[in-house]
Amino acid sequence: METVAEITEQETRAETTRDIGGKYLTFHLNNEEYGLEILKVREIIGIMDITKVPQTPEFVEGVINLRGKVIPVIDLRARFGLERTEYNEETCIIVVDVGMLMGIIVDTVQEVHDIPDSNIEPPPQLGAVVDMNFILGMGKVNDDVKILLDIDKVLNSDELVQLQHAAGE
Amino acid sequence: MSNETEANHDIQVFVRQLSEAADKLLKDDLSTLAKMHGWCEQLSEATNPQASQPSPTMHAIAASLAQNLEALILGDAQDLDQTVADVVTMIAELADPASTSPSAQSASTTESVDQSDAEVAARLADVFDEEPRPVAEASGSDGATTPVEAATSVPPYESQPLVIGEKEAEFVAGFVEEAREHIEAIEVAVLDVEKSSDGSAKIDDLFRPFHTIKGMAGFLNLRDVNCLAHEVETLLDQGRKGQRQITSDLIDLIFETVDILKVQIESIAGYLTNPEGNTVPQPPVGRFIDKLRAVAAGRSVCGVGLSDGSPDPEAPPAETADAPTAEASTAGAPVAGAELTADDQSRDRKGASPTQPQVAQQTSEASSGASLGTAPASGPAATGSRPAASDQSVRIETAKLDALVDMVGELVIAQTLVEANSKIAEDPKLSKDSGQVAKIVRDVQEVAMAMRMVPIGPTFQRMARLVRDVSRKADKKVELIISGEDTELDKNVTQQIGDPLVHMVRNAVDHGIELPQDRIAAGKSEVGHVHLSAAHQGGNIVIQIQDDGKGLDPEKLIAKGIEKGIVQPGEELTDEQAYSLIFAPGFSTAAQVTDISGRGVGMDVVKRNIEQLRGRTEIASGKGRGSTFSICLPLTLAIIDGMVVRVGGERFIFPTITIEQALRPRPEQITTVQQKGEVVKVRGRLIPLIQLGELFGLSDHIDPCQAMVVIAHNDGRQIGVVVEELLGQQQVVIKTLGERFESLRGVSGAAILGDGRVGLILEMSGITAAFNERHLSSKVTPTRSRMKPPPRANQDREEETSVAPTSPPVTDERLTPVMTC
Repeated sequence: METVAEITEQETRAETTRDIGGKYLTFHLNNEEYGLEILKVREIIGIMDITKVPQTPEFVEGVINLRGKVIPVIDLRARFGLERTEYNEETCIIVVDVGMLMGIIVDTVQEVHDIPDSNIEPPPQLGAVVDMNFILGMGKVNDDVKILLDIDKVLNSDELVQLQHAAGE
Repeated sequence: MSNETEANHDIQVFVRQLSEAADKLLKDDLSTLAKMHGWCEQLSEATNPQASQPSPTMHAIAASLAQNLEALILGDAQDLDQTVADVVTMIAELADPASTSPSAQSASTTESVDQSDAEVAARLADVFDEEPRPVAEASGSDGATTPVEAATSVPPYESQPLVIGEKEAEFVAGFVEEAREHIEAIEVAVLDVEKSSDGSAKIDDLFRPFHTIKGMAGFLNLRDVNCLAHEVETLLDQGRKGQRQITSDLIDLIFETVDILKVQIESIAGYLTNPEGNTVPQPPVGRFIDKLRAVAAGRSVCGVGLSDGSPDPEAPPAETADAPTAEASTAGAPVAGAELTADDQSRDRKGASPTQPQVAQQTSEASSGASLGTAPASGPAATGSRPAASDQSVRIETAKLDALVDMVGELVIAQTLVEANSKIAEDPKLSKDSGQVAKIVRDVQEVAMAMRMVPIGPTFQRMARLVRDVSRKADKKVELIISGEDTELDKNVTQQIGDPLVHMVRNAVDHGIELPQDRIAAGKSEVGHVHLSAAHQGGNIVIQIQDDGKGLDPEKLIAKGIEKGIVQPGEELTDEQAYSLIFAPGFSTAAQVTDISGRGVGMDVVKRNIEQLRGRTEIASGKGRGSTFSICLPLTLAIIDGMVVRVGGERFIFPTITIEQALRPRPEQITTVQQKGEVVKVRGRLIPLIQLGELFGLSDHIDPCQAMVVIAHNDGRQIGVVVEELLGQQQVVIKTLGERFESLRGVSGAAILGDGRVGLILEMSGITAAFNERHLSSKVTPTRSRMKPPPRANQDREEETSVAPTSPPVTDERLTPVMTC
């Protein structure tokens, strides 16, 4: 009974959602593997000097100078409420175009995978603990599973400026 | 064929007139030269291969003559006397065959008068109708409007529907652009003429732009514009020859003409941007032109003629002034490039007769040059080749310039980064080469910046007209003195400073300067003075509007402020604060609202506009001695002078313009208030201290005595911002942070610092607002931090290990080395 219900649910989902197969840039974050639509990616740069911006939420790492353009940078670990780690040689900023250019900081960038739509499953139902809004689906590559991110939602769902003052502890 | 006979007759008339004039030609008899020029143009027109009386020889001679004459008029010719001699010889040549050949030639070639011939002839008859005749003759023949002389042969002027074809639109657009410049030059020149006791020399400056407008309009078949300009030219010509006194009535008349011209030009411009219908809407100018003719004929004194309430001279500007001027700004865009093609245009339209528009163009260039106070190009006009003047400027889209300036900014940064590379020091050759590159980059930056710079003169000169109009309306005698008009600043700034200046100058005349009788009673000269000046001061330009009027009365201002609820009764205000009340919205000190100013809208807008330009205003005033409004503006909007400071491991930039001083206070200068706030006493004033690091959540409380306090001002109030260290002054290119950061308070943008990192630009009003709010909302600020040693104040920058309280401390410590490397 259960499986049947699941399958029908999947089918209805697949009908309503667009074809999300395509090339994905995969990266590591806290030992999990994530994927990002390659069409959104502008470039990948190593970690660089980041200028903090006041009155911003914790996940806004600051702004960087991308060859003359000042763009905001988001720490994806912080965004997902994961524990921050030290930035190192492998840490990368992926510059994505979500209407404006933005940088996201990830642990390591891996490679580009071509994931056909048939290999992508809808996000699992994990209860209220995990925010599924950011997830396009689960992509299967060989034996691995990549979490495919809806980067527009990740970066646009929140206002970058927090008006309450952080000071006063 | 009547056209043919008429043309033949005209040719003979022209030649006869030319030879007569040549007999007594003097090189500085401009009016004769101008007339001769007109005849030559028409002669060349009438004899061009497509005309009814083609004569290649005469056509060539006439064209060359016209150019020589033009050179003489403009003072362009290299050797005036030689040119005069040339002209005389050429006319003699012209006169010789002229007596016999035209009719002979015409017999063989004029069987077919096709459509274009008729058109040319019609245009000749139409546009240049009165021109070749001597003034007395022309004026005697028209002017049906005056009651004095009813017996006339010429009916009142009638406008004809104006049609601009698709092909012509581009050229007309070019004309519109140029005409605007000429009108500006005219306004300046008119005032010069009015001011100078012997106006005759200045009249030439006035004559030329009118003449150019007339010529171009005639060529483009803009009949109304052409005729209007022509009639004024006639008047000016009389003035130049001493036949007419330059009275202020005449000046008024010219100004009115200019206003009507403006409306005409703008309605044409409006039509070009948004062509609706087959004909171009034109203001009715018929009666005004008739009036001008009547004045020129001496049958009507201009003062009387215009003040008798005839609706036309008033009506056109009134009914159309708003709409077309609004469109005017948008009409500019498609014009670019029209200048370059003006030559081709002339050939297209006039067959083999490029002379006249070329001459017109030369005139325009030379006269606009003259109006800017620069020497007109001394090209080899006499030889007939185009003068070099056409190469002297190119119109460029500002967006392209902006992009260039941006790129150059990046280039400078990239170059600095390369230069900082340690490998360069190791290799002498590389070091030398990179030094060379550095030099070039700096030069490029300078040039890129200079490209946006224009002198403020034209903006100032627009005020001259305003002062004149306002003072006459208010029955005041005011003289405008302009200085520093060569001061250059960013084109964007000049464009945007115009409106605020208009308001302030108007206020100075309307509110500042007293009525003549009051001035005499106060022991001042009857004539009030408004001094408009511009000067560079540091990296800024300071524009001052200084009047010697009655000055501002702080008590009156405060009383008014209380009345308006802007000031609380009992509130103590310094004089400066009282003065700045006039910038409050809805504040007006004029007891009576006049139609010029006094509604209290304006000064707050002025202030906002100036603040948008990142400028500030200061007022100095003495009761009875007048007021001085100083506007301090950045030279450019793309770059600011900034003071780079360090707070909590981050670098911030104070716009230098907001800084009054920076100091390290002594403990006795600091007073705490209820352990919550601090004030610093500087030269007797108590200034609240803002802990920027705390406010931005970047650091703990810093002991101001171990740090630096930057005294900045905001809205006339001072704030002291506590920073860890001043890192130096630097010019920075401003970058926007983008819309996602729009609601940030206290930060107006970002800048790329010398090392390529981003620094945030501070904004005082936001800081003050955030600070005040925090002060109101925060519970007792923990004082424990005061016990701590001042963090980092004396440490080396490299050892900076700041901890941002917003981030988890664990990660931050590890994070820092990466960030500062």
